[in-house]
Amino acid sequence: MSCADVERFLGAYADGELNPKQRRDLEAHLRGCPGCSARLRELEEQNAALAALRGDELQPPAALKRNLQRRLRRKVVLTLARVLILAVGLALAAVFVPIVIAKDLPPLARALFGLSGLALCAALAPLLWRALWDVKNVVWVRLAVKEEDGQ
Amino acid sequence: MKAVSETAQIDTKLEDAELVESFRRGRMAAYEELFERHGARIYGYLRRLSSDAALAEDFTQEVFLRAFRELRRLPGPVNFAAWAYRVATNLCHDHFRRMARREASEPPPIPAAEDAEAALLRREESAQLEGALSRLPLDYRTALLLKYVEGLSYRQIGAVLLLSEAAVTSLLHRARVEMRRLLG
Repeated sequence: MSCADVERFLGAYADGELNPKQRRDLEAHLRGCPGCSARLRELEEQNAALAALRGDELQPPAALKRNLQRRLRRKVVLTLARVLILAVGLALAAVFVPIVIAKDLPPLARALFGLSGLALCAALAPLLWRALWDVKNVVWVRLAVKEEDGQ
Repeated sequence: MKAVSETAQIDTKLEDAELVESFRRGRMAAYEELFERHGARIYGYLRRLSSDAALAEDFTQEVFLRAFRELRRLPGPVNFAAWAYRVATNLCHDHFRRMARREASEPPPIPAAEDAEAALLRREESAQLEGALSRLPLDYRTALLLKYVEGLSYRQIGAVLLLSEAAVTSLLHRARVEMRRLLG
């Protein structure tokens, strides 16, 4: 291993990320090269100084959680409104299309329209499930925000 | 949070993956626990990456809003920490790319008023390091923060930045060289 190779892999060595063969080769070079050994010490000091920044906790603002909950609540209410509008629209379509459009058609065509209405209702089921999930979340977020405000 | 905690107790010893699964089944207390575990850490990472407290708060909220929206839809088990770091990193990088396009500039250094405040609170060496970090190109700063401040392995950094381990090794090498140059 040349000094240039060592320079390239020294960081990964200091981080413990070399495979055993690379590590052995690099250590063999380090034993005979004071320059690269000094560079390793310098690198380890730099890494340790960077790692020490971990101790300088950058505390998030106290309002972070409350603001997140407010944004969540807005988002959930908007999603809920969209889903409910869509669900009501589709349900109305599923009921009125066969009644209004198909009323003058032969029985077979009416039956087909009826089936399409059922298919639409089946398609609505996941949307309604999602809406119920969102209702639960709205309640949770409201409770959480009220609790935070009360503190 | 008492009202929620009383009605929806969650085992705080659960692994992140179990919390994500629990949240996918509709338990909001699991989501809350994920925030408690990772919120401050993601904020600190974003604070250092962006050198901007307001931006860091906004992006931290965005990370958890996306978690709320997207975790249920992601297929298979999710490594929450890697996912959150990836979203945080992308938010920050996208923001500065847009800024760079607008202003043809790199992210701003830590504002002067904050520098003075920080200098009072931190050791001189830390302030010097943070200053050098804030002047690094964004990719280098991201890699160094993920490795040495957040303590991620090369494989985990690769998962966050969508890079191979060899590419992470190379990126970190270039970042260290530049950091050394900046520290003089």
